[in-house]
Amino acid sequence: MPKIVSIHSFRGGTGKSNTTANVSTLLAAEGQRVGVIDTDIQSPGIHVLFGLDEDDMVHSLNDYLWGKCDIEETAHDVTASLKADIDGQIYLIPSSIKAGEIARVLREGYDVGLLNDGFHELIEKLDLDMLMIDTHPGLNEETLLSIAISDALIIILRPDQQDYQGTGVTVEVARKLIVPQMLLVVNKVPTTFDFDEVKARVEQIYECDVAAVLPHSDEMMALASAGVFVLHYPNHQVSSELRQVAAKLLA
Amino acid sequence: MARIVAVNSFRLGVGRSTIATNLAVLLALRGQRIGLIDANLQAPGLHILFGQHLDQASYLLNDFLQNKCDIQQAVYRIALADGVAHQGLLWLVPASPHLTETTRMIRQGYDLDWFYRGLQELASTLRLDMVLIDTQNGLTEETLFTLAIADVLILLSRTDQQDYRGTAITVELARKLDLPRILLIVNEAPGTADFSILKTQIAQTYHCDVGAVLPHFEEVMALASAEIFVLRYPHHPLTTQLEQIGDELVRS
Repeated sequence: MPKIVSIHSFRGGTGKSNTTANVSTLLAAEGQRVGVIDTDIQSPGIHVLFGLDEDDMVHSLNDYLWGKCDIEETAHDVTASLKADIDGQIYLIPSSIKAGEIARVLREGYDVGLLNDGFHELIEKLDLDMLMIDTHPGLNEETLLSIAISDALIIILRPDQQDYQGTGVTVEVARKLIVPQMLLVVNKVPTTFDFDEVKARVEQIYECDVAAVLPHSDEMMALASAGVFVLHYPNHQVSSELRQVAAKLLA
Repeated sequence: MARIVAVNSFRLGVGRSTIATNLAVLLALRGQRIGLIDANLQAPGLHILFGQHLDQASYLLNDFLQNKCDIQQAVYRIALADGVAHQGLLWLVPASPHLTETTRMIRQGYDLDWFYRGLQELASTLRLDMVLIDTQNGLTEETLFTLAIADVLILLSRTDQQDYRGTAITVELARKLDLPRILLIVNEAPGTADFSILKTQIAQTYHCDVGAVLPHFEEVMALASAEIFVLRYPHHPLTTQLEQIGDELVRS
């Protein structure tokens, strides 16, 4: 059964796009056909992790939302660009990085129902096992839709006061929308923190499974979204934690 | 009129609120009269950093923008002391983190002229030297307006690929708006980087001088916005760097 997974965070800068790209890659490495859709139209970023730049983008999600093409035409097969031994497939549906197009969407808005149709069409046309939705931070119409139709929701937070309150709201909303599987990922945790304690505390506060506690990593910072971390550092603690997330999605 | 300093970044999670707060505190401690505005109405954060100072907060920026109160009712004097009996002169205008308010801001935005008039009134009533505005991230209508009225833009960027393009566009736009001064600050630079090479590379990428390269520090992360960094670590190298940026702002 194909699975729709939303990756969300209340505040920005939590590492959503990196987590999405890495977990998607791990899933593809397990033979899954994975679609990754960047619905953060305001500030698209995940294309960078897959090495897709403006010249490579034939069509973007924006084109589909403006009725210029079918959604499968916006899918870019980025599997080969990962230069790794991957059994499965990764299709990236990017958002436009042209300033004018971003401005247009912000000004005009778009049909959220059309986006929803697009998700299902992608799964069907590309025969996907998983559709990973990289959302815009915060709770708005589009992110609520993604959460509502998801089979699994990954909420990412940093162990920072600015994240805690908002994450509580998101968890509550997700519960009301009856998302079947909800996983928390605590990211950018200072290495001086007690990780077991962080996990226990977060699980207690939100009464929700913590799938991974990811330490702040200098290597991740230095990689700077230039590539997919798990391919560069397969034996790193962060990579093993992310494998746990992938495993939970496949369970 | 007080100088308007916009603190902006293209992406989220770059450290705008943290840097704006710490800069404002340092400037206030050296005797400048500072207004700090949380204009990040879709996802405010300053009330968290100043949490302990805002027990009695009732009216917020949102109320002023909806014409429910005067701007003076939404401003809070922050008592600061650096242990050397210097009185900090800092006033904060916080925003509401409640879901109904942030949702309203996402859907409707706010009256920009009204916002500007509020700033002007505040600046004149409190005789402010500077108004620091923690803007929303990215190039929205509100941030564009703030750039248009700003005297100084503090533009924060990380050394992450996802930041570059949008930050470069912001620099270009700021120039087109004839913004008098752009201070580009690289935040959270990896400790492994060679900072002088990094500075040159970034200056080349953005065609803009780099005001400062702030390294990533575990202590900032570990503090986790529970306190104001420069008050907790007054002699930390980061505090020293921020003081230097403060010097620049006062001088320019």
